[in-house]
Amino acid sequence: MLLIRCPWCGLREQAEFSCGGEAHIVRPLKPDELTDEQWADYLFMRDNTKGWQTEQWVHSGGCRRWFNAQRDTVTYKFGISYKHTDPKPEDGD
Amino acid sequence: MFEMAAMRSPLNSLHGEDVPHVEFNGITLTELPFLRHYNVRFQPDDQQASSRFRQLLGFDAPQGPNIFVVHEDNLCAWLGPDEWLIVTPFHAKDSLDYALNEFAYGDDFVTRVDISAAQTIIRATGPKAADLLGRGVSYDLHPRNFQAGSCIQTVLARASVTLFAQSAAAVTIDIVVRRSFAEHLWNWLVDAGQESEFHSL
Amino acid sequence: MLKVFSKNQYSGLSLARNALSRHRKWPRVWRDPEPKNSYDVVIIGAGGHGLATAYYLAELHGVKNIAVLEKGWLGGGNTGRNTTIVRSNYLLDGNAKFYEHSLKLWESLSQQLNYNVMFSQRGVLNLAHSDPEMESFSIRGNAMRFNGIDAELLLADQVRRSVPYLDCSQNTRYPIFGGLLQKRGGTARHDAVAWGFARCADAHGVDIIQNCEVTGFKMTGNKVTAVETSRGEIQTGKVGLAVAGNSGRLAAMAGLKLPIESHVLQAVVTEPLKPILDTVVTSGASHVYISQTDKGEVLFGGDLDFYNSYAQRGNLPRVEYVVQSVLTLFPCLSRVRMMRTWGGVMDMSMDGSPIIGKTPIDGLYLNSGWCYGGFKATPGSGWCFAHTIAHDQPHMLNEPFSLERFSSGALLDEKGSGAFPNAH
Repeated sequence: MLLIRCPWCGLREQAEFSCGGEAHIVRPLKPDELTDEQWADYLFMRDNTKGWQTEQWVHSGGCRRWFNAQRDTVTYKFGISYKHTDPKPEDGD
Repeated sequence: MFEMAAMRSPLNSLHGEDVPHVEFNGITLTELPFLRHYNVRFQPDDQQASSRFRQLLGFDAPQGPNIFVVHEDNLCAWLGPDEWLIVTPFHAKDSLDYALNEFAYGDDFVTRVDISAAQTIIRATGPKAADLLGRGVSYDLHPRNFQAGSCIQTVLARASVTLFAQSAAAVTIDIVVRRSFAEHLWNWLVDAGQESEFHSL
Repeated sequence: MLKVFSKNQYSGLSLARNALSRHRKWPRVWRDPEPKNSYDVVIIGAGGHGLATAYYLAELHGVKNIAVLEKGWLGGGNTGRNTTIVRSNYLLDGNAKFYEHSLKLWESLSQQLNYNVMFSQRGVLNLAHSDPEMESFSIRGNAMRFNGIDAELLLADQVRRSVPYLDCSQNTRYPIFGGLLQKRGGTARHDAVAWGFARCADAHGVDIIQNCEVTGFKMTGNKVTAVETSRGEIQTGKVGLAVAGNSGRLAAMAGLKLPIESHVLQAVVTEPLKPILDTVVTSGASHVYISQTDKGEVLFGGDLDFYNSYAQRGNLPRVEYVVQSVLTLFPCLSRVRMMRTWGGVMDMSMDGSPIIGKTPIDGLYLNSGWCYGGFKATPGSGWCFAHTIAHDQPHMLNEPFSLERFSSGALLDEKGSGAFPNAH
């Protein structure tokens, strides 16, 4: 069981959350000007990091807000949680 | 116009026309049916909206997480950084409904939705009520942590619920649950209460 | 094959001969060679897919100078962690033809490898829990038959008779409306598949090098020239990646980004029971697949844990959910003890279908993105990947699985879930 920190509600159990994948993937402003490869790069390609990754979570069983969190994909240790409008922080310890 | 006699609560199917109520092992479960529930949203840093809310409803929407306030007959709970639940008795509907309409139809970016028909409340009381809910909630519901005036949204037996710590002295926890999960949750609570730890000596 | 094993052929005769020496003189099944300085082809990953690729390269394409590099031990990744299900019950043409080719290879694999992979065609039964699901099963079943694959649509009563311990009552959470049965599907002994391919590849002179981790690639221009490993640099013109679970990480060493996320998938076995289930039962309603192993354990798996993971271990909430799903279908198992749970790291691709083919880098070939179902593809994947590496172009069967499909739009999204890798 993971304990996850919601930036609003505090530390809660995993069952209240859903993971939304890698964070900070920005939708291109002008998709029609992209090549097929650039669009595929945005839509499908992932860093899929082994180690610290920033990812999107939603507190679906709680306040139902999306936020970003750092997590180590090997140890499952969580770093900081922050609002998804905040800039990407440095990797956790 | 609605008439009380024609209304059925989500848990009526379990108990006919009576208000659902069971007592076992020092725990009492009762439904609090037919309350008015409103979902209200506005930006908390919107000074104008906040002051109109206070002006029209007579109290401030709580700003902190995981708390609720009671003002006269009305209960107002924090659900998110820009979202609140207001629960009020059925008889108070008209005045509160009018105030919320006023609030929603102003120039500010606010919404209010009447969700009375979408959810109901199960009240669990008794010294072991927190232990009973603890069978399905990992959040620490002990009164030292879950003090009167606290509310949390969590998952209990796979149902999304909002829990209110109403009173620390005689443990009373109100469970807000969607109507379609209400019967399932009620049965789960009754079943969980049969475990040996709840049997009186 | 027989000529290769003239001395070490497994047979009744060899069993009798070795009995005379009290089974002390069985030869090593594969060697443990030191890596050479250069190979014609280097396959990374000594799981079922990598070993099958090396075997078919040697057996069918006459490539002799091959190494298979493995950072851990042979068959220690997903080959040894899956729920051993083999089937080809796919709707889309690209998938159906490929997996059917793989299933045909399975049917003669034990003879071909002279190694008993214990392939058991006990049938794979997908349960339908609603009329619309029956409708979609009849569409899929008909599509399978058009592609020359066996499929039978069963009514509720037929399901009840063929799986007597299944809860077919009306009051259950997911009532049984019928099912889609592929009788030629079934299970195989997962470790034996890796061992059988390893033994045959080794007999062909393939060097299987364990405890040898790849740390980078050397390139001249856009062409691979060498692989850097924890045991030194190895010159080669052709590199095949068959490292499901770590594909993205290895591809990143070559400067490639893949449409793949790594996720952990768990499986569970119970204590051994008397035979109660002689087929593989799957249900899409809560996503669970159940079979009984030859040892008698009830083996089942379900969904991913739904967050990216390289950990090869999962979390209890998912185990609880999967167990609940199993008990919904088989309430009779409620008092059976769970013996073990474990996890493997899946390559979840963005359309739910694998990637077997060339990459933008010359001499670098990719075999990845197997999602939940890499095991059943083992021989077919090796067969197609070997062809792709040997001819520097994909075989007709794996053409639809190109990496380019993500930019060309020719996706193979069997479930129509879109670009959500954890939804496939």
